[in-house]
Amino acid sequence: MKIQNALLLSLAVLTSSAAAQTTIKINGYGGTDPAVVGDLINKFVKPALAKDKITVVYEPLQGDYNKSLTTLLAAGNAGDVFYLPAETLSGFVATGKVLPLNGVVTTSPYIKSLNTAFTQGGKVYGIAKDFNTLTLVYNKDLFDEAKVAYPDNNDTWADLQTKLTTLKKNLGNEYYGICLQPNFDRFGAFAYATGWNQFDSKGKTNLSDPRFAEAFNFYTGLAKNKVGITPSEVSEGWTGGCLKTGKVAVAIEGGWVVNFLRDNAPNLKFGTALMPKNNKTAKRGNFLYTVGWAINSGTKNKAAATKVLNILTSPAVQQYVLEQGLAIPSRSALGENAYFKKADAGAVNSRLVFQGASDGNVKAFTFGPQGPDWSKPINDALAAVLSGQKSSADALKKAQQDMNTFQNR
Amino acid sequence: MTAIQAERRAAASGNDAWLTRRRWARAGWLYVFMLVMSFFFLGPFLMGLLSSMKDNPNEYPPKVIIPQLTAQYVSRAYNLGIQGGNSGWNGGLTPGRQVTFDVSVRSPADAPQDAPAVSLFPYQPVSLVAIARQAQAKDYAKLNTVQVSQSGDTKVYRTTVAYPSLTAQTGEVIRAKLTTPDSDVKAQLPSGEIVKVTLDTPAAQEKQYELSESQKVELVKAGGNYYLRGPLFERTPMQVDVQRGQSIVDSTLPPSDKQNFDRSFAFRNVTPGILGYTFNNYRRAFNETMDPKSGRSLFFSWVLNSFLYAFLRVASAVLFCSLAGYALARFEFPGKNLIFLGAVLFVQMVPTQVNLVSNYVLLKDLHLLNLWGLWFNGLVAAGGVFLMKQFFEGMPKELEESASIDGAGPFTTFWQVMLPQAGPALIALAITQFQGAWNDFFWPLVLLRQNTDFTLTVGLSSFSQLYGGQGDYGLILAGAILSAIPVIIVFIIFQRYFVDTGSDSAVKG
Repeated sequence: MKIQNALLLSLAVLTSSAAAQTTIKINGYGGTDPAVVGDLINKFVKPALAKDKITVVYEPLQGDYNKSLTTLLAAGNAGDVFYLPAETLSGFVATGKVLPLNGVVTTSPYIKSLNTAFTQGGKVYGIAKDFNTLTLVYNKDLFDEAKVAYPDNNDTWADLQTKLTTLKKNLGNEYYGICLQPNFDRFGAFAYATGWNQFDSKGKTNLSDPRFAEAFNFYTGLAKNKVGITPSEVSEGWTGGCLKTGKVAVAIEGGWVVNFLRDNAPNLKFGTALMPKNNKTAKRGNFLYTVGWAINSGTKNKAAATKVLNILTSPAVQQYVLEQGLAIPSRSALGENAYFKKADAGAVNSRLVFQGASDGNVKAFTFGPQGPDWSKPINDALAAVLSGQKSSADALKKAQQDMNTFQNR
Repeated sequence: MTAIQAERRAAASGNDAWLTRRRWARAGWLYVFMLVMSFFFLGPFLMGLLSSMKDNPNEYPPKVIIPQLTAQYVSRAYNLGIQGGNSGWNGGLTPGRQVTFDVSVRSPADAPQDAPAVSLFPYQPVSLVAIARQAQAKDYAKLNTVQVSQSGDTKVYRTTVAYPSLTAQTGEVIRAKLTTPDSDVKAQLPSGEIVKVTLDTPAAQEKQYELSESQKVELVKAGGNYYLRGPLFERTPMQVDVQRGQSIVDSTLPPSDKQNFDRSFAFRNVTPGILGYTFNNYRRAFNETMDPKSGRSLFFSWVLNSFLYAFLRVASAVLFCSLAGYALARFEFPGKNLIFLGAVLFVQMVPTQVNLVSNYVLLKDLHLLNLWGLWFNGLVAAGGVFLMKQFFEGMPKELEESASIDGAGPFTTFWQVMLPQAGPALIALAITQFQGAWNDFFWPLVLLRQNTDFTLTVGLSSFSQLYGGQGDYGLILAGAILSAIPVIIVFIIFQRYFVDTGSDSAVKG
């Protein structure tokens, strides 16, 4: 009898706790993210939600995140809260599975350009988790040896070109001024500096715009006399790798290069400057690489999901993430954080990445509704000119033709 | 006549010589062919093995003779390991010990004659648990550099890295791991007991808030109290800079990185020990993938998961395939051909991707999105049933007939007569199943969600996702080599069992 009672009682306890317990599932990247988000959940989310009986689990999606998330959304298995990369925003919004956050979350504390990156048709679909922008990262030793002044935050394109050309001349054959990726991922920032727009009002891309040509000619012109080279010329896969070799003075990269250099070239003395300004517009161009927190429109626990999202984007969490050196926070108020005032190379880089988001023509890094293939004509043109196979005018003409074909598909 | 005979004899012996030459030439070609083939098959593996030991696996042109495999440097790494951590294999820097490291600097007459600038620097590769900041040798050890000798314009400088203990107490020295602190610093002893750590000197108190959770430390037990001697360091990263005009000509260990026109040398670890020097990336694969929740190495769990999965797959395949194969080969029952066509042949013709969605949904509803679900998904291998059926069909019927004359039922016949004969087929089945399970990527990737559940293949893909972007190819290579080794061993051991049964000789006449 006693045993029966005990069993009944424990059963009752189990069912009641199961009924009251709400589980919020989060989908995000694999890699280090499970450790980072797991840490945030343990330190911040759990204590805050303990009394609400909300448990939070993080389910990483390994491999191609966008593909996995699309599958899960289609199957109705996606998390209540998930990462939403800004570059694939339009595709996911089109599915109707992302909850518009207007009136659900206050967006005013976040950097304006970041909110714009997650806005489509006047509605905000994500709150930036963190972000990155491009900066100019340079090897101090090479500039010292060549007796050329370091790149600084007031440099124009012409200034940068002069510095790099002098450096190359003084150091000779073995050394190079800058590593240039034949890729829109880096070149696009220069195109934006001229005031060029990725898409016109009809959604078409104009590559014969003189502003685009100006940026194109500057970027490919840096390769003249081997002042600029592509990464493969020093057996590397990306421009951060070029810096590591100690043979290349400058690379255009974001905050991710800091950890890379710390691990792979621990004794490299590097500095960071903002992207150079366009000679005519006197503005910088930059990309915003950002991933946001979004809520599944099909969630059964909207209120709980909103609570979780608010905690994950709270000032306390963002400050922690910044001070641990994990990511750059999206709240504009954190620009005053003491971490940014430190003098070490990594902190300086973080500060300039943060500043980059609100200085000049800053656009979200995206390929538009047709996906990554959009950039192919531009990449081909850059590769053809950087390797000396085509003249700039020919390459641009061909690129425009390819672009038209692609966009009329 | 004799002249003709002699001519013939000469022609014949010439022929013999020609034949011998041909025979040798043919053997030569065969050997060359086999050497080339083994080079093609083993080359990438050996190159990967070699590169996984280098500081820069990407180096171009790749070197074949590397310091990590040179007796002189390996023995120095061993000595440095003993000096720093009292262990020639594991190395490291522990409280109360000191290490000496020599650097030779050439300073021509017109160049600065200063001693090189030597410093320690923080070095902690980004890992799966990048958030747990480990203490750095830089903040605890002291350096002292003196000139010890000179020949011509080359001076030899000796740097002593001394790591004083943070307490003066003496007694039993215990290694422990720090746990979540409250108002006191707490540590977990190897026995599992959690104790309060006493910081009895100003030097120790200074570090109270710098030591993070999961940091390994050395304590000394005296009078019932545990005093902090200091954190344990796996690495002692050191940097040597000389001025323009000077050059570094020699050092105890070769540098891992050179910058500033070879005037800046970085040694990622001056107390490596052999494991930290030659097998650094292998050690990292295990040590730097700690799961923050359980404190266990993820890589180690992946290896165990892979072995468990492979073992389960082999066991179930051997059991079910031999039973099903025997039934299909020897028994007569209605629908036998239909089962063979439908469940064995047709199933093999359908690509696995076709039933991806249905199997996934089914396993999800059964709450089997884990290793057991993975096993369940591949429980019976249709190919294996086919193999066993064909094998049993090839066995002489007389064996079974004689068994049944002796009064054996169908199961006894199978178990005691047929199965013992099926050794080679079972081993072939086991090898292919083991290899298939070990290398299985598609289903584990689809089904396994938690990184503690991964098999090695999925784990390695997350490795390359994680470290590939960071250019940490050494670690990826080390992981790949480790995952290739079991398959190679299994094949080498079991390939000699690929022999005939001898069942032919069981039937005479």
